[in-house]
Amino acid sequence: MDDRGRGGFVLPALIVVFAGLLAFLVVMLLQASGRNARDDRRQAVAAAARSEALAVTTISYRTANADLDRILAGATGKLRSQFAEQQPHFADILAPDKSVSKGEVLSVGVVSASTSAAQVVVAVDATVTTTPAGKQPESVLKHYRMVMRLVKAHGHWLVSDIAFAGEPQ
Amino acid sequence: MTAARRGLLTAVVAALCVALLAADVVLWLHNRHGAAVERARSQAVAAAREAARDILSYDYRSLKTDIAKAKSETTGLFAKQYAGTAGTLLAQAAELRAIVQATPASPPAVVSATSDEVVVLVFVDQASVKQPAGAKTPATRIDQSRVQMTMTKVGDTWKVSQLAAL
Repeated sequence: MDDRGRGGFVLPALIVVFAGLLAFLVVMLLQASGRNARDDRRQAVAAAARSEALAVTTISYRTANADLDRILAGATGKLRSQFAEQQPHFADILAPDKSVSKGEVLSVGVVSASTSAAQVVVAVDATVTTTPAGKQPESVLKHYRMVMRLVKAHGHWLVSDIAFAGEPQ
Repeated sequence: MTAARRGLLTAVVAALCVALLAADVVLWLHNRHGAAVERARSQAVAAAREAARDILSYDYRSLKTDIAKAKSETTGLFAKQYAGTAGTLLAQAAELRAIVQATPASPPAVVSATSDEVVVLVFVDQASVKQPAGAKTPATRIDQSRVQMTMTKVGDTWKVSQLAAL
């Protein structure tokens, strides 16, 4: 048995170092996972905003009901009720002028994203084509400035409000 | 514990310490980089907000100061482009008696970010008043735009290296 002398200190000292390194690793892992979660959240929020921006600007008189369903699927709260109210006559509004709107998302930026709520800015263009009975089709390009609020519900990010920063130009 | 067993245990713990140390260093570097990106986001957004206002606003009565201020907030390709714009402004703004005031119409938002380059999207309203010599009343208008700025880190500051109206 040789528990005395120099050799007796090395093992306990190493165990202390080991515990310290392990504690540091845990702290670093927690930090890294927090950051990953934040990055994932920003991506998920931007993706949800992009798809809803596209949904509200991509509407055709031919597919009105399916288009509205797509809008509703990405919406919640105030935005959802605004569109849900239109459900009974959505197709009737688009039909007379054979309205078709085709959206294109130019840029999406995240202002803030907490675990439950987010704010996103989206620049969208939409080509709106109308063909009133007996007339030639007419197209206009609209430039939208959307400021969206999103909330997380049942694991999904949904848009609860779209504010337009000024009239489309 | 025999000396032999103790020696073996010491060696095992020492080896584990080395492995842990390596993992600690890798993760620490990874986190440090992540923290730098987070810092980049907030600093670039603050700089972008100020730069958008300075670059997109001017007053014919203080044109030289306005341009010098705006110029100091640009770098790279956009610095060259802005110099060209500034030349045109100097030639025309005084004659038009132009005052243009840019105000943000949305909070600035981050499109993408690395530790030294951040793309920022912001909506801007540009209110302008122009009254050329001889005109009885000034002409006013408001232009709404969607401005995407690439912010690049230069030393400790963030400057505009690209600016595009979408």
